Amino acid sequence: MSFARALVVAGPSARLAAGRVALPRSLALAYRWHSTAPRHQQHDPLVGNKPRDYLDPPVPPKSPSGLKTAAFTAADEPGKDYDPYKDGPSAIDKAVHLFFFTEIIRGMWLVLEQFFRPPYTIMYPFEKGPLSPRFRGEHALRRYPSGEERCIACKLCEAICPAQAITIESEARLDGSRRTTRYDIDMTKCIYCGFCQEACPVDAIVETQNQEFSTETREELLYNKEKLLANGDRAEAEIAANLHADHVYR
Amino acid sequence: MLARRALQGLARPLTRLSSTSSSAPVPAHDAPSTSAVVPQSPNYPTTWSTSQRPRPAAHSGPRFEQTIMELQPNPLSAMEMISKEPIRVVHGRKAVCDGGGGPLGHPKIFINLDKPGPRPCGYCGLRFEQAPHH
Repeated sequence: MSFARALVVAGPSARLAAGRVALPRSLALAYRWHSTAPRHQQHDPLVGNKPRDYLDPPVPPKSPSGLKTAAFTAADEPGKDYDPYKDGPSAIDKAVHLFFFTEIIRGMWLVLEQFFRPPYTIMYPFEKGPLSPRFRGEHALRRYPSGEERCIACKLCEAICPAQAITIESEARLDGSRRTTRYDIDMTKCIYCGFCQEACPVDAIVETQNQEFSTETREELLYNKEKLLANGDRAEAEIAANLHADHVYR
Repeated sequence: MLARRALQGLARPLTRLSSTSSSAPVPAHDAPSTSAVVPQSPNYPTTWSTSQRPRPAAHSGPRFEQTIMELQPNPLSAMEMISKEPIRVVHGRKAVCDGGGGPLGHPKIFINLDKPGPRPCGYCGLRFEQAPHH
């Protein structure tokens, strides 16, 4: 093998001088490319008659040079070569903070600052915290801007109510329109799951943001249609704003 | 008392006559709440459905003892409000109604206006009529 490599390196003049190679090199290469016989059985004119020892390759296999082949790290991907410790504190900084209790002192200083600040307290009945537009409080029946009730007595809310708190009866009105004559919600049964307002195809029954409707007697929590419509009339601007704020997600 | 009963007996056929003039598939509504003292809603005096119960008076029963009826919820009658709404005149044979407000209205429906007279939207009650031509 080393002899063959020396031949290649020395060039044609040395090959001619040696006179040992029977075939020209181009013919030998063509024979190697086109033959289909197993390589270890045939006579390779470039190597000679000695069968190759595949268990002991003369040149030890190397991993290919270059970065792009074997080791593919996160640094090769765009946007992933982020070093989280690059701009952070060094180990000495961390050790200093650890051994001098700086974090504990900073926390105690924060407590001392809070001690001299005015308290952050909401005067609850007069000022209230923020509420989500999806807040589920007291129920209300809505109207169209023309004043017509939105509820068409499809009874989907009555069907879906898991507590069975809704009772609906419907009948034709004097002008021929079929609307509810009775829409009762037992607010003591209601679990405020919001299924009724999700089931309503016309956004008629909604849960407003009012959470302060405690009563003295239990009967006052059995809401009828008049009470629900009055709730809707009172809070219509708020309900419409909430629905408009949330209509993208429904 | 007797005179009031007689007056009501006289007035009832009159109201029946006037109500039958408007032919519509409407249930017989021959018993409006007799207590005209308490209107059913601020803008409509009587009940508007057959089995609708009239609004209770202040002393109509033990349930309403010491109840301040002025403070009870008393919403406006939707039937009266929608009857005040003007009829929309549409050029063409069909009207389109989606309640307004895009996703905050009702499902969009098409209303056939071939027959003469106003046709109400089944959802929001707005009435549409074909514009007269020729």
